Amino acid sequence: MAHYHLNIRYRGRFYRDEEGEDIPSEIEMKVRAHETARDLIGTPSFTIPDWLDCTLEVTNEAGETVLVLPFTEAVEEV
Amino acid sequence: MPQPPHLTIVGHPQPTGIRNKLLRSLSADDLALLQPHLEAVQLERGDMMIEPNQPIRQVYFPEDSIGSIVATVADHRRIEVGIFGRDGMSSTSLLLGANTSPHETFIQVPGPALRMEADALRHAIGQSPSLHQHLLRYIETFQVQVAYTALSHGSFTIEERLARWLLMCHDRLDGNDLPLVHEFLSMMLGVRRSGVTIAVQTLEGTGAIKATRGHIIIRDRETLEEAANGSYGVPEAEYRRLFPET
Repeated sequence: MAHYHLNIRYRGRFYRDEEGEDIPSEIEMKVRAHETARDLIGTPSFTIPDWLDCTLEVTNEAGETVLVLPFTEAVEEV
Repeated sequence: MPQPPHLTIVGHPQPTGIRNKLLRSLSADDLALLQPHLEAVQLERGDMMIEPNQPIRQVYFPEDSIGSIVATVADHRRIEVGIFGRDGMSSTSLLLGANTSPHETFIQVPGPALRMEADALRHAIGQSPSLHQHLLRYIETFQVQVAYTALSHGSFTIEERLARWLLMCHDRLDGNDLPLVHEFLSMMLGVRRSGVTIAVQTLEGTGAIKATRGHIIIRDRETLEEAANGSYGVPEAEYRRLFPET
């Protein structure tokens, strides 16, 4: 089980996921990241009028970036 | 249902010390029917009040705590459909004659509550039509809240929904410090945790709240009401109409 932070970058602004979450494996982390991006695309937000301009940046406990997922890539898989 | 091992029975409350508004607004005669059966308990986050499809054995009247009613499906997706604190009680299902509910009801914000056996409440309702009417009026206010939660989920932004939810919690607790973690907020609002993070930071930017790890502090309620943008207020007004402060 590893602790990951699912941060969002939108047009130069970085929204840090301070709490993070425990995820059993790297594969499940990638699945979670893709699910998160796809779900958020359907969530109306005042702050993020266009989720397709966002990137999900996953960091590990050491602060290293382990995945960069543009939302456009997540939506292409649907 | 097993009692949580840590649950502390503090004692039996005096009528003058009761903070639950639903109980406080009862007539003296109706409160006297319930009072001998009420015991004061301290509840922790996650304590289960009602498990899905299990007999409802006890009812709870929060004093300075909040319960969540959550709808679930088999693949573990869950979303909150209503909350109650000192404005109400668990369970509306029992008041309507059911002895189970498909939803789960658990403690979202820990704190004190009053508890009594479900059978004792059923017996008291059978003895007093006015008590029954009083509790049915509460169900009406709760149904209005559930309807506006559905409206909120379907028609408002994540920032507006978060503002509404924080106002609802603030109404039901003492003070301005709400012990809430993003993981729970995600379930309550039916939004991925990353979306909650963005909404929290946006509301922080307005000065309405201050978020720390595991806590959200209400700094400017008026600004928070503006941020809710009309998603908050109708159920609360209905509650005040049906249960005017004395």
